[in-house]
This record gives sequence, C-alpha cells and structure tokens, in this order.
Amino acid sequence: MKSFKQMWVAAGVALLVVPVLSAAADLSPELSLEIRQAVVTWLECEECTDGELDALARYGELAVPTLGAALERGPSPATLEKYRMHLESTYQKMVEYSRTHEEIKLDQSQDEYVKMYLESYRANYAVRAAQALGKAGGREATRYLDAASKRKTREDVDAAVQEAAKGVAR
Amino acid sequence: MERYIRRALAVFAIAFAFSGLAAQAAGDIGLSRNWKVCAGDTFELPKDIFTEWVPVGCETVDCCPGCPGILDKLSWRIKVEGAPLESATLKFSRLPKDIAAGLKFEGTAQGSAENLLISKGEGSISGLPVELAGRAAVAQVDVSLDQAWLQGQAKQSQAAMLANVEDADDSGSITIEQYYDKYRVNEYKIAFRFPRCFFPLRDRIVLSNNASGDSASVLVDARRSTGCVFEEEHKGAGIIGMGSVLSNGGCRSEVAVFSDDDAMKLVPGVVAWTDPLGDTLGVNLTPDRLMARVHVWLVRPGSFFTALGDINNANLLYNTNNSGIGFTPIFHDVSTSLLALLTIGSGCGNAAAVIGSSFFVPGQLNAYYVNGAFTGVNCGADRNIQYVGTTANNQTLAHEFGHSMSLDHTNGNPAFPITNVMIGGGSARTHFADGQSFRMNAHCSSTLNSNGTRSGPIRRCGSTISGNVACSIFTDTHCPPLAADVLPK
Repeated sequence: MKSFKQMWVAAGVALLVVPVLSAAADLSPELSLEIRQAVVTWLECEECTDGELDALARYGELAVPTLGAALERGPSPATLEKYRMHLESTYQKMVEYSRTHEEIKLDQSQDEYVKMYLESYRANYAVRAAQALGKAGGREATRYLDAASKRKTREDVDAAVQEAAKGVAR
Repeated sequence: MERYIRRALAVFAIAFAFSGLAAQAAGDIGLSRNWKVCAGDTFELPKDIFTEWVPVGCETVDCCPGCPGILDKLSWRIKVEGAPLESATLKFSRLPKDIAAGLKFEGTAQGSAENLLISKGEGSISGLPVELAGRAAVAQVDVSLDQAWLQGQAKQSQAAMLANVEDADDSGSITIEQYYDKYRVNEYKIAFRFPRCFFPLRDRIVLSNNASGDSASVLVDARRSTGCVFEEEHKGAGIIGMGSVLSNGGCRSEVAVFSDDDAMKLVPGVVAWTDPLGDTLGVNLTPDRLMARVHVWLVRPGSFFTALGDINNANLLYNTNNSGIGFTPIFHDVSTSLLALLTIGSGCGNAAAVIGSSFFVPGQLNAYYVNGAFTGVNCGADRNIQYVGTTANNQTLAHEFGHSMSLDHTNGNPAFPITNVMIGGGSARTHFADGQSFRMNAHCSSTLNSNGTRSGPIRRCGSTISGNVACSIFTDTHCPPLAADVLPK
C-alpha cells in the first residue's frame, strides 16, 4: 500500500516537473531577450548606480551561462567589432582634429590606441561577469569562478575573480 | 538532476514573475542614432548621416541565452519605414565567399551580399554566420531618401513658412534585427525626423567671430504671429534667416548659440526684434572655447597613455558637439608615492582625505587614474573629483566631466540615443545634445561656473544633479529641454 502511494506521489511530481524541465531547456524568446539585455546592461554600465546588478540578479541562475561565457571569452565578436570600429573612427577623427587643435597630442599609433582600449574592454567584461556570478551563487557560478581563478590574466581581473570566488554562496 | 529541477523551477518562477513585462521588453530597441534635420537641408547634409556600419552576430558571446538547438545561422529582418525613406543599401564586408553566395533574400530585399537593396517595407536575409574566425563581418548600411518626398517637402516647407502655418515633420526609421530562429540576438535602429524649417532672410541673426566658421546651432525664444515660441531651432555659420520675428510683447526673448571653438553664447533680453521686417540681431561669439584645467593624477603606474587618450577624446567630443568647452591637462605622476597611493585610494570613499591633501587642486577639475577594477566615477563630495579605474573605456572621463558639470544620466529617456555621452553605459558614445551643453555652461552649480572658468548669465535647470554650490532659489529657471538639439553638428 505504501509503495502504491509512493508511486502516485512520484507520478504527480513527474507530471509537475517534466513540462517545467522542458521549459528550462528552451527559454521563451521574450525571456531570453530580457536576460540578454539585463546581462549587457550590467556588463556595460559606467558607474552602475542605477540598480543594474540587482536587476540582473532577479534572473538568478538563468543568467549564469551567459555570464560564465562572458567571463571565459569576453565580449562577442560583433560587440567587440562595434567598439573596435568606434575606436578606429575616434582615432581618425583625432588625427584630423589635431591638425587644427594643438591640445590633442597623439603619442600612440592607431593600433596601439585600439589595443589599449580593447584590452580594458575585455577586462571590464571579465570583472563584471565575475562580480555577477559571485552574487548569483550556486554550483554553476562557482564552477565558472573556480575555473577562471586557475587562469592567469590581468592583475585587476584576477583580483576580481578571486574576490568573487571567495564570496560566492556555493 | 537536482540542478535541472532547480533551474526548471527558476525558469517557471521567473517566467511567471516577468510575464507582464516580456512583451514590452521584446519590442524595445534603443536608438543607435536619432537624427532630426531640416527637410530643406537634406540636399547638403554630410553623407555620414546616412551611412552606418552594423556588425553581423550576436550581442552576447553565448549568442542566445537559453535557446534550443545548435546555433549555426542567423537571419536579419530589416524594416525601412516612413515616408521620407526610400530604401537602404547593404554591403557586407569580411563575409566568406561561400557564405555570401549562400545567402537567401526575401520580402523587399533584392541583390547580393555585395550590394543588397532593401526597399520600403520589410526584407530579410537568411544564412548569415553566428561567428567567424577573426573579426566579425560588417554590413555598411546606406540610407536613401525618397526624392519625390524631398521635393514635395521643400515646396511645402516654403509655403508653410510664408503662410505662417505651424511646423510639421515627417519621420522614418531603419531597424535591423538579428535572429536565431525566433530569438532576437542583436538589434540596431536609426531614426530620422525631418521638420520643415525654412526661414527666409527677412529678420535675421548675424553671427560674428565664429572661430571655426562652422554651422552653429541656435536656440531662439521670441514672439511670432502664432504666439510665443521657445527653443526654436536654427543653424548657420554667419547670416541666419529668421522669417518674421515680432516685437517681444509679453514673450521671453533670448538666443543661445553653440558653435565649435567658441564659448556658448547666451543672449538674454533681446530687444532687436520689431514688428516690421528687416531686423538684425548681431551675436558676437567671442570668447573662444572655455578651457577647464584638469589635474590628472597618475597613481596607477603606466596609466599616462590611457589618461592622454581619454583627455584627447573628451576634447574631441565636447568641441565637435558645439559645447564650447575644452580641457587643458596638467599631468602629475605620483605612481611612486606611497603617500599618494594611501591618500587617493581607489574611489570616492577617499574624497575627504584627498580634498585636504596636496594631491588636489581646489576649484579645478582633478582626475585620478587608480588601480581599481572599475570604469569611472564622479564624486558627490566634490564634483571636481573623478576617479578612473583600470577598465574604463575611451568615453569614461568625458562622461564623468559631464557629471562634474551637472549632467545626470539619460538612461530610459527615449529622446536620447544610446550614443549619448551621458547614457550610464555603452561603448560607442559620441553625442551631447544642445540642452545638455546649455546645462554644462549655464547651470548654477556646474563646475564651469563654480570654478570660475565661465562668467555669464546662469540658470537653475531641471534634469541636473547636485553640485559644489547650492543654487539660489531666485535664479532664473528657464532652460531648454534637456534633449533640445540642433542637428547635424
């Protein structure tokens, strides 16, 4: 009798959980878009005083894979290209502008200028992703942070990863 | 298993909690550009207004959070909307030949990857790569105006002005959405507004000493036959036609001029206008741009080039947006000083210590390049203090200077494109609106005024942040709207 009852309970749980599990595999387009926008808003915010991290934290573990990917790989190629084009265009404008405005001192080549800012941009993605993973907590977030803490990159990124890994709720 | 159940339950809970917001967020595309140009000027506008570059690929590196299946190909949906726009031409670069040859076009899209015409309506491209080795492929987007609309608009514009009929405008937009299956993974939108703004040379404003001879932006309060007008937008390098401006009557009458290489000129209490035609208001744009001194404290070893690049870009952005403000840096390398390191610290928490130290010049801007993993911050304790961290971008310092001169973030304000310098995030910010330039110059607590860099009429404007001085409640509160802007710069 007891096993019969247990079977019914198990069946009930299965009925409840199976549709939800399939939803986990496939987020709706709307929810996927919201998570993307929340992640990017956090990764790119300037002072981040407008509640960007809290807004992202509302998505809990759903944002973790995207944050983990940002920590490992940085901005997407398209996002990186957008910034690179902006930097190249800015440098060219500064070259033109410096011909009539002596306050502009160009002591770097375009390649050096672009490289310097792209490195900071990548570092910013890693730092912010680590901070958000630290706040999200959980097994997946911890896994990403632990893996990142074994890699040696820039000093500021390593420090941010270590700090996030130390404080993460495992 | 436990992990999947937990994730599934999280999906369920969050989907339920956000179900009401999803539809709104899904349609929400921030403007990459928001042009508003006089219909009559469109023949002479610089070509780059109608050209943009859009990278192919997803916004996030995992492409599509929670999407099913293997990510392989993307599709683009391109909408060309509005009477003024005829079409958009796309030219893809860095797209491998086999992928370019395999692209499929539907709707109003016709041509090839090298030259694809999207007529008005919606066209689509399928078969674009999610990711390529090396740099992402890019589409150059050229927007074409409808020639019949342009000619009609020019005629109507003149007729309306001569008949003193109220201004009207038409708008159009180009939207590019990148999709993986049903999932939108990136987006881009540019909007155009074309007000009719033909003003014959009857009454006029004559600018003198325009240092660079550029086409200045002019905001005018005055009286017309239709009543008082505020922040009427005009452009010109020297003589600017105003149509018929009447004597002030009970209307406020003033002019604000924004020009490259010249300080903003605010002329209150204009009395030049009379009811008969033929009035001239002369505006002398002397002095040249106001240069704010910036003490750049290099606490972080090796930060000179970053600081120099940031200052250069700030000068470029502020001047080319006609703000009338520039920055003269004085560099102090204190990277070997332990006292500097301890005093300056890495954020606004140290502002009080900094203010009382020899690492701060009061009454001037101070920027600290420190060894903290953040972008930048301007300190409320003293708006002359900004910290720049190790992960700043090339617009961060210009953004913090904006706070220093009283500007707030423009996030969530639909009048501002994502390229505005005061958006609280982003990596390609290049624009200030004239309403922002006005505040940086004229707002009572802007550091430009409180530091004595500028002397001239001041205002107490809304949409600003607190500054180093309290504004008198008796200060005039008349300011243009924050988003007031005469384009193109």
